[in-house]
Amino acid sequence: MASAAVPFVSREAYLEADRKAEFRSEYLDGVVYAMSGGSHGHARLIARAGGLLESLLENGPCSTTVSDLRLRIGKRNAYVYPDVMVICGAAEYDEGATDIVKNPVLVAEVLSPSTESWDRGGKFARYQTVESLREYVLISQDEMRVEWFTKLPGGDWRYAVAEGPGADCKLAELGVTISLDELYRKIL
Amino acid sequence: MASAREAYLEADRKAEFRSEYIDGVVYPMPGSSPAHATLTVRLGSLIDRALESGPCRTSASDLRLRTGNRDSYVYPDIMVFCDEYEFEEGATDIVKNPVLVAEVLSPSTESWDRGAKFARCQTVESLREYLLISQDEMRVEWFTKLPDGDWCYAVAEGPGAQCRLTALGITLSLDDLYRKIL
Repeated sequence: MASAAVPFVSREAYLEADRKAEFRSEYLDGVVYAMSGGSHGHARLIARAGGLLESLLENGPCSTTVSDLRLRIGKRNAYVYPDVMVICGAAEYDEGATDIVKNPVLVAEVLSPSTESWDRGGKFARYQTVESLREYVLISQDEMRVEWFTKLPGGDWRYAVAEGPGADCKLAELGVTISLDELYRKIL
Repeated sequence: MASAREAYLEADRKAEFRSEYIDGVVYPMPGSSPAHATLTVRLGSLIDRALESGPCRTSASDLRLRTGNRDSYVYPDIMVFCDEYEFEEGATDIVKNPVLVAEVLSPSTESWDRGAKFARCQTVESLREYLLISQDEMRVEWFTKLPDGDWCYAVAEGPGAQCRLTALGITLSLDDLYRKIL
């Protein structure tokens, strides 16, 4: 992030500009961040992860979205576009909008060199304030490796890693298991 | 012919600045900010004092760690050892058995400390606690190893908050950690 002074942008101004823009931006505490394009592997992993979750969850009340749904993070005055979200039950929208949700149960990010620090650090810190969130999943694109955080009753998180052929990512809160062989097939 | 690993170790032992080594690649370590350096000392000293009546010892910054099944050597900001040092074969300057590793975060190394370095430290069998200390806000995150091999991730932030290191049976006060720093 640039250290030079950046003019403060209001939430309203960000939303108005972002709704018209040709590329998406995220918003954090008065600053607008343009989103970089992803690699081919990044884009394929988002589609694959979203597809697997969607089919695993098809019989229940949960639905899966990828990439272009804005999430409002209330306590931290931020709007972000997670790579993958799962919402169970009815979506809760931000104040009168139908394009800003507030209640994902799962957020997944496919890691890339330019965003890894943010996905593991500042972005995760903000996601921790989303009350509905139960699973935060980080997917590597250069090796078969999935890390995930599951919310515990006391407010801490259980962190687990699945890596290599044959490994499974068990998302306890959703009751589904993602096979890394399926996630990475024809990608790695 | 010397392996890349041996070449790294030979060069690093003679060098004026430290480098880390990951899977065949050598990474020179950047210098740190005053806040980073102060937090490293403060953290080491708080942990050392909290552990002084037991068997554990604290080291800061210049002890090389060999990580387990990945071919890597790193210099953690802080380590704690509760048993005799286990050294890499034939060396007395490469340890293998910390119980705790702590890193003070900085913009240039945050991605590494949260990602690849943590992944390597996960292969250290003795490790029970991995701490990440922010330098621009009062915030400590830590991972505690669970009996089944997963980790418990917890966060303490703001005045009055405490970091409870259950594997060591000690508690760090963030007020003490950040006093005169933030």
